[in-house]
Amino acid sequence: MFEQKATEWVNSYSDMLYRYALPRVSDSDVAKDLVQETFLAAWRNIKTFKGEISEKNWLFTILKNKIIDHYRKAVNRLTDSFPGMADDDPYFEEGGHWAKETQPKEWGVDYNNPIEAKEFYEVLEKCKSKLKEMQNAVFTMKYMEGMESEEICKELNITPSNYWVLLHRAKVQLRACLEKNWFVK
Amino acid sequence: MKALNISCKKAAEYMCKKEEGSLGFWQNFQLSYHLLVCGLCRIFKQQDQWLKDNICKVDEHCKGCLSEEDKKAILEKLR
Repeated sequence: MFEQKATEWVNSYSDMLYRYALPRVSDSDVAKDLVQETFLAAWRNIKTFKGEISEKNWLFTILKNKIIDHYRKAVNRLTDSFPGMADDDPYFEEGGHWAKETQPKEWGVDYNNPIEAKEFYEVLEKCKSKLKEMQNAVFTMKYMEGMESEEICKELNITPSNYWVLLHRAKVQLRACLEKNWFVK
Repeated sequence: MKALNISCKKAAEYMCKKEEGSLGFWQNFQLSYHLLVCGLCRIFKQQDQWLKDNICKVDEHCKGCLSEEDKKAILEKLR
């Protein structure tokens, strides 16, 4: 009974859980660990599972909480200032105007349509993985998990001003990386 | 007029805040004026919106999967 259920879970859900975790944590080993922890937590709590939602949704809910835990631990590891918060910003000049080499350029795409090329999304994932861990956390929670800023600040125990700086710097860096590596080579 | 002027860096920050309705009336006015006079920030705004609309497509295109060894390791842990 145990063997059958565990094998069924792992065969049915492990790949989709991994594919959910990977773009959010941008590290394959961390993503694997989070999937493993998700199954372990589910297995330990299987008696409390009432079947009100599907097993799949239940596992995803656990994984989402594990991902937020992962971000929270990353914040707690930082004992000093946040990386990605320093005053120097390579994308802007001293007066706050775009630095010459990082000024936004036209991408020559139809902004009303998505790009379908899978290679583009590989570049996007790579660019996202280059963000500082805290910037990646805030960006992912906001735009991939759809969380509100108050909730993100509360979960990560950061101030609203830290949140805004981390988020806008993540977006500026991500845009510049995409431009350099895909749109304007 | 000077009070209206904000930098591009500040404009990028205000764009973030505006998304969640966290921008005050005056800041909103400053941002609108900045976008009127700054072509670079208009490009940034358009690309930023496009990026937000498309980021979740990463999920559809993520084709990674666990190896048989990884799956065996999970099963071992569950035992």
